Amino acid sequence: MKPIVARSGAAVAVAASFVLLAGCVSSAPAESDSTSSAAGEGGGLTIGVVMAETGFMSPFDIPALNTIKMEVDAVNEAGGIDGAPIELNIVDTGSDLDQYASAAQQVIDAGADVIVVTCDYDVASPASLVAEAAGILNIAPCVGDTIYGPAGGLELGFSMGNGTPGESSVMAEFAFAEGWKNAVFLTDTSIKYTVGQCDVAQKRFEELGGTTVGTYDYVQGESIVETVSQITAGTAPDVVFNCGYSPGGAQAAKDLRDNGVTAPIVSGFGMDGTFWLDSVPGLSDYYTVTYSSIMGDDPNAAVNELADGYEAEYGERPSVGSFVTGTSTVQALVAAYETAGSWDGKALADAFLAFDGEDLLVGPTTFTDELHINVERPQRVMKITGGELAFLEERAPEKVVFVD
Amino acid sequence: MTSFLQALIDATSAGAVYALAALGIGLVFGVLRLANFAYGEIITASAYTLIIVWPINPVLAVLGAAVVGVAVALLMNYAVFSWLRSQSAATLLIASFGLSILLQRIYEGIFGANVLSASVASGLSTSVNLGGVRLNLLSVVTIVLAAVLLVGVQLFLTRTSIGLQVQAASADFRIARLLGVRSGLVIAVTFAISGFIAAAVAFVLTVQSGTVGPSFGVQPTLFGLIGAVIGGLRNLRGAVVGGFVVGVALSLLTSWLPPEINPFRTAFVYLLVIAVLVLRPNGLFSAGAGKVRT
Repeated sequence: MKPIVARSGAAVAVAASFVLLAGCVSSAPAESDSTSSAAGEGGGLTIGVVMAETGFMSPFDIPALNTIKMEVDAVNEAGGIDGAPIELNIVDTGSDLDQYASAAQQVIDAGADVIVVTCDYDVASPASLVAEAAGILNIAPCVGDTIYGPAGGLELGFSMGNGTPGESSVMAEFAFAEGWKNAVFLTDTSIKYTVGQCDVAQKRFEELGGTTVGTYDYVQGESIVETVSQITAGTAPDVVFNCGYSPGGAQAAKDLRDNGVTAPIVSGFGMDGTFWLDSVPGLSDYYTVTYSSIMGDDPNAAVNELADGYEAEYGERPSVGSFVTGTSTVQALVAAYETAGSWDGKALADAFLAFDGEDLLVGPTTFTDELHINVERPQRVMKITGGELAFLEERAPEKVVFVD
Repeated sequence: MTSFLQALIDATSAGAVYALAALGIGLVFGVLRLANFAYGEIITASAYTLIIVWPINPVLAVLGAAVVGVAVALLMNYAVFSWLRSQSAATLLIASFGLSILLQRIYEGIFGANVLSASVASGLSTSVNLGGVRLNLLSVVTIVLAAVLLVGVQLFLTRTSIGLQVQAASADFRIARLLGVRSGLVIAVTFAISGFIAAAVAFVLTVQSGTVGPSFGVQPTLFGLIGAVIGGLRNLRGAVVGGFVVGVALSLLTSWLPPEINPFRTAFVYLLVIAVLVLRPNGLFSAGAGKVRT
């Protein structure tokens, strides 16, 4: 008989490896169907929503989902589309990758004309591919990866988001314009979005004449004090690019500041919002590039009005600036229907491709045969001073660079 | 030389955190043969307490975190594991895995999926420069806290009646019971101490990160468990040393691996685990074969 301890040790190691490979369990799969009404009734639009109201993707999905609901209500109150109301059929995937394909099939079987999916390509693609196979238009409100579209096998897939190449080019151009010439790039390697973010920002920064004095990786949940020691031992950076998202990105910011790195830090949409700011008291000289300001000081009055309406409806302000993409998703569908005249996936996709600077809340929107995501929109640069987030400037990329 | 010293300081601090986690895990394993994956959720419960209560009253937050840690640990024991005592180690392990996921969902339901943030003991986050070596006050506190708790647990185990009973139960649960050791009390005390240690881990990690989310305790528990396996789950001192070794190894690999292979540092640690398990299935510091718990 083998010792039980030896077997226990092996079992623990196997189980630990399983958790590691699974990307560290954050939540168990959970699905809740909140179908608002019978799908497809009266010939109106039924939107099947396959997003995360719980789990690790929910902080990114919920703001867009909430404004989808608000915009649907507004359209329906105004008489709907061709006199028929828009119906929402929402499935909470619990952020569980395994739920997405079946959830998409579920809403399609229930009569969805269009599918709206989670704000990350890696997570959303199983649902998008099911929609694609069924010939149904699929929209990701705030995916940033340019793979969402033909590059990822999605001829009927479009993102309302700001593409990473544009966002990251703005990050680099902003930093260089501030006179910061030496940069450290910190990349959270846990998702493709943040990896692409630093790759593009570094390429653009060097194109402009900036110098990279260090590149370092981390993953969610890690303290980066060792990396900070390496940064402080090397050439002092003028700026640090923190390509991450909360909470790991916040941990990185805290480790930098707690251990003496006072250089300005620039991040993208992943570090948007105020919910993490209390973890780094008095944080200053921190900049984020994002969709819109949640603070009521956005240069677009309609954005501020929506944020106020959001607060009145849900009791809190949107947590991140991508909330405008939910509204824009419905706006785009309404505009495309006017051209297509039906909810056929191919007809709607053609209508989307005909957009030429379409005036949506998220910004002027144009799709091309290659890129079903926008990379040239103006974005907001937000500044954190003394722990307070505020709009700093609107900035469009001067040149958008891509990486393989 | 300066960078070498800096790497050692960073590594010692990281090692101390995982040593503490391994101590909490190893204590329970010693008595119950339970590799408790849900230990992370005890850490998370204490961390939520710290983050929420600290802005109101720091003293209350620390006391509350300790009480919550002990309470959640005892609740786990009485609500779940006490019903499974006669089951195999594998059954206990899977039950703890399920409990871990369940508690994460409960935390998400109560506190939301997004992180909560607060500045906990921000004074400890300051760094001083000593001859080119950066010394973070939290690193010092972490190392001291780990040392105090390790000595405290050691004294408890060797100088108190209940501690000796815990040791006896760890050595051979069945014989200890036959000799009159009160098994229910021993297990409860062990869970309570592990809960208190979880609160200490939560304190260090919340000062370090300032945030807490539903899966906050998963990573320290994983590495604590791995450390305990390397050191020898049945040998408490071995488990602590194993936890320390894992933390130090991770930290030094982060500091010293070339950039091209640095992203694979965790893989190297797992390689170390595999090598240890192949060469010494009971861990580095466990002598001989383990005994069957009945």
